[in-house]
Amino acid sequence: MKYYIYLLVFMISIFVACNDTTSNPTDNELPSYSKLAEGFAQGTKIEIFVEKTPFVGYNRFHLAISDSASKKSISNAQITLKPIMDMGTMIHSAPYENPLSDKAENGYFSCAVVFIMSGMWQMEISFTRQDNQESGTVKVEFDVAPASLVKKVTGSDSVQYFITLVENDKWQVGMNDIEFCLHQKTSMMSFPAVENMQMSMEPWMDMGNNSGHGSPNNENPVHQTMGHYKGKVNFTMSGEWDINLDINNAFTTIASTKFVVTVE
Amino acid sequence: MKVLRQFMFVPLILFIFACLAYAWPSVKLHGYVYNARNGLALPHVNIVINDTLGASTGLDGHFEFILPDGSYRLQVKRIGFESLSYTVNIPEDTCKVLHIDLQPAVLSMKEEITVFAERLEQDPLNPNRNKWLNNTEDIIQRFEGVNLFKRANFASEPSIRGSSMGQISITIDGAKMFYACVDRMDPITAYIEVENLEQAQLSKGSFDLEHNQTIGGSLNFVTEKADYQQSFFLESEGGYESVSALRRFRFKANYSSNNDWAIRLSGSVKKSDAYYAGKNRLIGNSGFNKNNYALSLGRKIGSKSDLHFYYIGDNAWDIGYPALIMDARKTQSHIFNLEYNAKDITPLWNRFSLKLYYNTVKHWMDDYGRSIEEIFNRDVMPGMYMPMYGTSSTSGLIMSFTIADMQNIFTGRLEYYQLAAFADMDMYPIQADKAPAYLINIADARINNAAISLKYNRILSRQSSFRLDARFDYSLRNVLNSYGKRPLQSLYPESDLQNQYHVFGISANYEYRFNDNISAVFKLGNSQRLPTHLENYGYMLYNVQDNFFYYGNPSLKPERSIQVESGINWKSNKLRWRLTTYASRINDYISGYILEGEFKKYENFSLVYLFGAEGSLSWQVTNSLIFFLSTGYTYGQNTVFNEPLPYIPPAEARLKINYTRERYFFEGEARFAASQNRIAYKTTVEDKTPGFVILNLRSQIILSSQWRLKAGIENILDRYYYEHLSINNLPGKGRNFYLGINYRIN
Ligand SMILES: [Cu+2]
Ligand SMILES: [Cu+2]
Repeated sequence: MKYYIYLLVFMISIFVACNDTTSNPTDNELPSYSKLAEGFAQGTKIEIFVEKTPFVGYNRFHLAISDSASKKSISNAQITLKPIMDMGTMIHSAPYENPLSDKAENGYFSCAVVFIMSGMWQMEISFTRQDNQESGTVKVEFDVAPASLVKKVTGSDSVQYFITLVENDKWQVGMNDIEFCLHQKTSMMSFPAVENMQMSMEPWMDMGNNSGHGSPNNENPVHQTMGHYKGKVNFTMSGEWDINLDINNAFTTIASTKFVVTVE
Repeated sequence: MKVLRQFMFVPLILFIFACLAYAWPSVKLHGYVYNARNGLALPHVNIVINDTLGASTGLDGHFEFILPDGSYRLQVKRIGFESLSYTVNIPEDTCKVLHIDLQPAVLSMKEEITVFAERLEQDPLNPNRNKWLNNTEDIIQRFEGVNLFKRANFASEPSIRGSSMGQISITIDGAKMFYACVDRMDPITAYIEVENLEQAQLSKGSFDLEHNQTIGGSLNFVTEKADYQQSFFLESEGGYESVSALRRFRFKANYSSNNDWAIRLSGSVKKSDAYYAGKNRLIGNSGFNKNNYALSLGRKIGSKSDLHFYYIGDNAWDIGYPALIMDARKTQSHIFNLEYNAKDITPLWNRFSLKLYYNTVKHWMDDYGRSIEEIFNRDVMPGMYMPMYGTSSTSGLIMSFTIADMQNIFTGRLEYYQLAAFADMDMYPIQADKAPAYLINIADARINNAAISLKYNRILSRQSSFRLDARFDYSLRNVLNSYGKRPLQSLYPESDLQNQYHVFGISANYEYRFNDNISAVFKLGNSQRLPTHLENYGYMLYNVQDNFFYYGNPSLKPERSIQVESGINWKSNKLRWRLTTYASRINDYISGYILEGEFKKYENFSLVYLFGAEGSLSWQVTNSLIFFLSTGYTYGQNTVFNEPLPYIPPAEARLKINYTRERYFFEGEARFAASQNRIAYKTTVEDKTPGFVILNLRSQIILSSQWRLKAGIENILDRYYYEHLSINNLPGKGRNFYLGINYRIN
């Protein structure tokens, strides 16, 4: 009898031993910014930090402002951006987002620019300090690397739209958050956000020769704020995927475009 | 020393005298009867000679008759046991001693097919005397109610009464083993060969839960173990089949020493070219290569127990699958088994066994052998090569014991197994500017399963017996590959993909004998079957049948079934027939639910029904001529989609005539399959299958004590036909001449 009890205990212990599953703790590190450029005006120093060297697409900028004499950082200021590309025969701007608040967050004023072309860009940063009411403009220049995250499309309403896929560090197999920005061009210097459109998105793996497949459970991007549309995309396998996107108003499809991403 | 040798003559002389004493005062026939289940002597057994003379066994199971020389027909009967009859020749001046094993009738719930049938030859009514088996499918196909899914000229997958895949259980000596191919190219029957097998045991429906929770039936293969009784034995066989230029060779050898230890070796090689369907149509890309080898070692520990080990290895390569879009490049399997068996531990405690096993399968398939045109023109994923790999490993432990007296047999079983399965797929577009892709089909699925099963037989009276089966399973499941887990998780954002099941099944069997000829069986079952690892965790599994990609569903519920079966058996010396009807109601039936586009996921659907009937008849026309007929029909309906259930074989009948005369055996067989017009078109895409008739002729000739010849013609009329279960209507083989030469020494 004793023998069987041992056996039973043995079986149960195997069972229990095979049971434990290890869980991977997800690491929550703060993003590290690198310094892109700096400039001085009216006793004020502005340092521009970026997450990635500038590229054609949606770029986040983090501005650190300090008093050039006292080296004290300034956390209250009004800031506006103005990106400019000088193409010799003409100059144009790009869609941009000024800092949402006059107050720095964690020491930075965060803002963004959608570079719509690669090459040399100039950025004018105008500020009004709250401590001494000084205001001025800092100009910096930097190179923007090519990428294919911005699509320029002329809609069926004859408006020129800029559709931007907000860059994701790593597209993974499975469900991913996906974000687009939508802007229109009203003049060379004005690219306001478009907030009243619907998007329909279809990922497609095109393997050539009429071969390909989509994926289930995608969520169409819907408008959040300031021309940002967020949805979910599902990649069923690794490889190259097309993300087909239609921009619709209440009645019809205005514009269509396609992004290509590599899924790991 | 000399003295001792002289003394040894004494018992010998005594023995000769004893036999003479029996012979001379005319006791001509005596013997012992045992319970085949536990080997104990069986009293109160009636022995009837030529329907006139009768005797019954004493407490020691012994009986005797005083008879003149001649030939006698002997019937051996006892309530609760299967009757036997023999023809015995008693030449002049001999006394004949018989040792007779009677099978308890209550255990006849399983059908058995003995592979190398010499042992059952005493019962000429046994329809399973198979001398013509060339491969494992031949064995399975001999059971009525069993059909095969055909995807190639290679390992077919069984279906029992219209149930298949996860609904049925297939085991090897009770051990679980799982296919590695996500396209189901490799049912585990592919990894064992005829020369390794002693018996196949089938139980239909949910009435035998010994090996698994099942609602469709279970098929258990019993391997042939090293034999302590055979000091030396060697059998080898070479064969050829014309339809596919199949060349095969197999052997088995046994050696034992002092009834103490034994070793058995067996192996086979097969090579087949593409086969011809009827009307001389070549089915391209349907050849294969295969070899299999096995080692079995036994060592006795005392007189009542032994330790036994076996290994079976199998390799196959370049297997063409004309019905699918890919071919198997290579498969590999290893089966290890270590077992301790003890019997007659106490008068009541009959048997104890402890078994440890491990098996592993690796499977590679690809479409490199297909033409560029085919790859560009196929329905699914054209224009790319897609090599796939799959592996599964199962390890387990089974402890079982039997307690029995004359009226009760109680068997308990405790088992645990773990399955680890992984599969992935590469995609290489042929168009140069397209990037390759990769996906994981099974992200290292783990199934941990612990179970307890109990079986209780009781002989209630002289007329009736009863059996109860109960089984409880606890199953814990998960996927471990975090990369492969992500895409599956995208479908079930709220789930961590881990799941557990508690499943309980129970069935009862009652048999009543009205008289010596007629008995009735009634069975009731309430059971469940667990989802397979593919149904839980498969990811983008392509199904050729409906052209959908399937996603697993970790939170599937088990299928639940309530079943009834009733049957009438009629038996006389020459005639035996049986009629069975059954019905099964399945809740939470697992099938595909269309998500969008070409994607489906496994989902539970309430309520499908299966009904059916089977009949068989065997009639011994003369001593050498036996006539055998079997027929079956299954009706399945899905009430959710209001359509017939898929993969239900059509009505079928088999007619066989066996002629046995001295050293010649002939079998003529006609197989009739009706057309199947009840097809599924929503849950999957089937098409109607026309009926057909196939004629086969088989023979065996014993040339000498060493040499045997097997020869036959299959599909004599060279019909072009395909089975309803043939994937993509893959046709059956055309006219096939086969020849086998068998050599044995012992
Ligand atoms: Cu793909
Ligand atoms: Cu395969």
